[in-house]
Amino acid sequence: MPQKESAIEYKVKPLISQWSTLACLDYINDLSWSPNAYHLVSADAAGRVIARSVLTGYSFEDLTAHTLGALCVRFSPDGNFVASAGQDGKANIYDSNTYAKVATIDHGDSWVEQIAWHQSSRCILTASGKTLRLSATDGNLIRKFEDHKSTISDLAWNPAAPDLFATSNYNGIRLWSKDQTNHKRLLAWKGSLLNIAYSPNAKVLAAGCQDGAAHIWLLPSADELFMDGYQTKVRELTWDSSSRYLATGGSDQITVWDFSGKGPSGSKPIVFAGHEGFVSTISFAPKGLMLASGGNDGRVMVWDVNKQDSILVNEDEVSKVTKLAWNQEGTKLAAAFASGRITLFNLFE
Amino acid sequence: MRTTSAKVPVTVLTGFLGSGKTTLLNRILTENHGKRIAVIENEFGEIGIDDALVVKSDEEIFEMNNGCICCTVRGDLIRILGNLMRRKDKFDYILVETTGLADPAPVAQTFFVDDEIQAQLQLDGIVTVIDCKHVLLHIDSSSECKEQIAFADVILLNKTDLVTDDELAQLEARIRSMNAMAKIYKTQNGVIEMDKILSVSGFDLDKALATKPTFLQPEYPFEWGGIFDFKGEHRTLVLDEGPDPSIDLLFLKADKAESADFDELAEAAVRCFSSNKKQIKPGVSIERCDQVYKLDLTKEGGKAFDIVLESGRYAMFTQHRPEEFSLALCTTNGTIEPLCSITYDAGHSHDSEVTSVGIESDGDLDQKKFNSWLGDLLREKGTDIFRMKGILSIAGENARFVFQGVHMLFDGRPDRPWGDEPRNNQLIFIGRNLNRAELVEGFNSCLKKNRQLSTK
Repeated sequence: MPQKESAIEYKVKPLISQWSTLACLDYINDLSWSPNAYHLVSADAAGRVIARSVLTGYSFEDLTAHTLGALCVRFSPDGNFVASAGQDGKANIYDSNTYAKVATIDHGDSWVEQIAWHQSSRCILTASGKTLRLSATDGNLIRKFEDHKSTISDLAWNPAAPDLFATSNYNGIRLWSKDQTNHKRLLAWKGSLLNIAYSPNAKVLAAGCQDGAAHIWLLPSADELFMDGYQTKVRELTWDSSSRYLATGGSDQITVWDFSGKGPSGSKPIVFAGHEGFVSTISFAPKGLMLASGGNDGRVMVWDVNKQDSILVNEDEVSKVTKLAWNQEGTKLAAAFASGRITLFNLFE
Repeated sequence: MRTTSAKVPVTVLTGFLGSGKTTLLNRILTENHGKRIAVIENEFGEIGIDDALVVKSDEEIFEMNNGCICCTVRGDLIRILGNLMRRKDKFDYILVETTGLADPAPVAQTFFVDDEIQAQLQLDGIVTVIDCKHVLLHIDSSSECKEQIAFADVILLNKTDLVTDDELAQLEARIRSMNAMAKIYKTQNGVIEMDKILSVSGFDLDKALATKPTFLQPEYPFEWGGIFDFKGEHRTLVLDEGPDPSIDLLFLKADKAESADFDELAEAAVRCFSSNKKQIKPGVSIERCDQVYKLDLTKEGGKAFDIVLESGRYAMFTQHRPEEFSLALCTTNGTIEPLCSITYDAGHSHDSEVTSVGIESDGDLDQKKFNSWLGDLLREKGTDIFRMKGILSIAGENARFVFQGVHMLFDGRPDRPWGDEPRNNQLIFIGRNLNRAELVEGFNSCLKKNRQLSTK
């Protein structure tokens, strides 16, 4: 747990180590920390899933997991498994102790673009095109969900109700129970929704749109808020742990909406400007009010939302920041780049 | 700091089922062109090349909420292309194959609308494959068939072995009338040199109208022209009642003209026809060359107009064919017959729905007026305008202004300076139910000074 914020300001120790993959450098699509923060796994555009020791930076496992690109990788919440998915139409599950493959979920021809572990770590959702499956860790299918009319762009478990989840695609968000084949509710919005983010208290569901907007549903009423005027499509959404702030990209700035009090409608958002070019990824720390951002300019920044100021600016890389991932404690930040490099920032001593 | 690298070109392959798209695609993939090609194939695709990188995709058409009613994009392409570009072993080329019944607009618009795609990829061209024999079954009834022709940068008239030369010529003429911009090639089994279909720079502003559009036959504002020798005698133009309440008519000096010179005369005549016309009633004299007279024919019965022109050789151009009005040039000794004459196609045989309109004009444009005219035009007619391109001479600007568009999406910027090149404006619109006269008039009203204007 971070100490007082004044400590942050002066004790930032950027860069305890800087890793790069050894053989060749490929665009990193996804990063995931083990819950104990000992391991960090990456998925890259060449199809590899690579596991590293955080202490040494040593890559101890190089899995040529997916014959085309590997699109996502995720530790199970209990840390016992790692799941990856890719353009070969497969999702793989590995034992995180041995990195031996324990199961394969086969989606056929089309890319598996989304995965999400259930809180219990006993089952996982995998999405490819219009198909969505819930499978056990041994790969056995538990349920297929087939109501989708177009490709599933994102999926998210409800943080407050472990068996419910949401999926986004063109023309709306569907709310599901893992125990029912058909969706329970449709939150319609005519437009291409690219991603979704539940507020941690599950009272707000935010979606980014292709048309340079964020669409927000207040639950359970499903009253809608519509934030438009972004410079580009909004793919970057992240909530702070208290559910007060929603940070959004879609521009060369980060726009942070405050949901306290009467909420963000009609209020002026907090804006963080520091990137040259579009922001490519943002991530709130799991605790506290630190917000990390990466841009097409290769810059990694960490902002303090309370002070409305930046506490870290790193310009060592010039290639696009593709992914930012905090460890569970919110003390370490990993940044992945299009060049294939990963930089680790230790934010507290 | 950002590294800029050359954009990867993308060619879109359209054509009805059975037109030979897949054969062509397989041919491209096996041809020894040294390019590393990735293919995004439609859900029914059947590419039979094992080592090719082929991604299957369901066409997902997304409407955009950007206030542009016809703006649709291919959501699947945004996802897939974005992902493909992350690979280190980047491709030299990407091919997108659409389904047979696809409207090419969403594919093209994807390249205008999505920032990520725009930054990394360049739409090179739309190639449409046509089955010469079977296209006639669809061309009248299918809007997709027409759109695929209208959008194309390159059209392959494939399976030419299944039709006669006459049929092929007719088909080519019809397709040319719809799309004056495309390069048309006749093929069998999709056999064609790769450089004719790949890297054609169809959407490259730097090369906008580098090749002049081919208008099959210019559509003239007159249907007939004839050359006459006027000697000393008094001449009268006599007409009977015809199908229209008036007829436009023009005399040009044609001192040394032979029949071969009609082209040049017709060009001059077109310029005259675009200027003010002088309306006259029967009994009034025709006294000037280079002046289009609008002869009022509302009076019942025969009508006569004296021609007061000095002796010499003249060309006469008439809006309609003379026989429709029993038009004749009479002297006291009888009628004067033309030395030679020509009848112009009024365009009745062309596809009435999808056409190309070209505008070429000297003079400088008032930028404000032009912007507002084009803005209004795209707002009102954007759904019907498939593609447009142009090079403009803007008043007060040293550089050429180049632009292109797909439906309501517009992309334009100043280009290289005019230098020694004569300044002029060239535009082409391809679309449905285009009103040629309105477009010409609208464009004309944006010119700084009312200069000469011709249409094709």
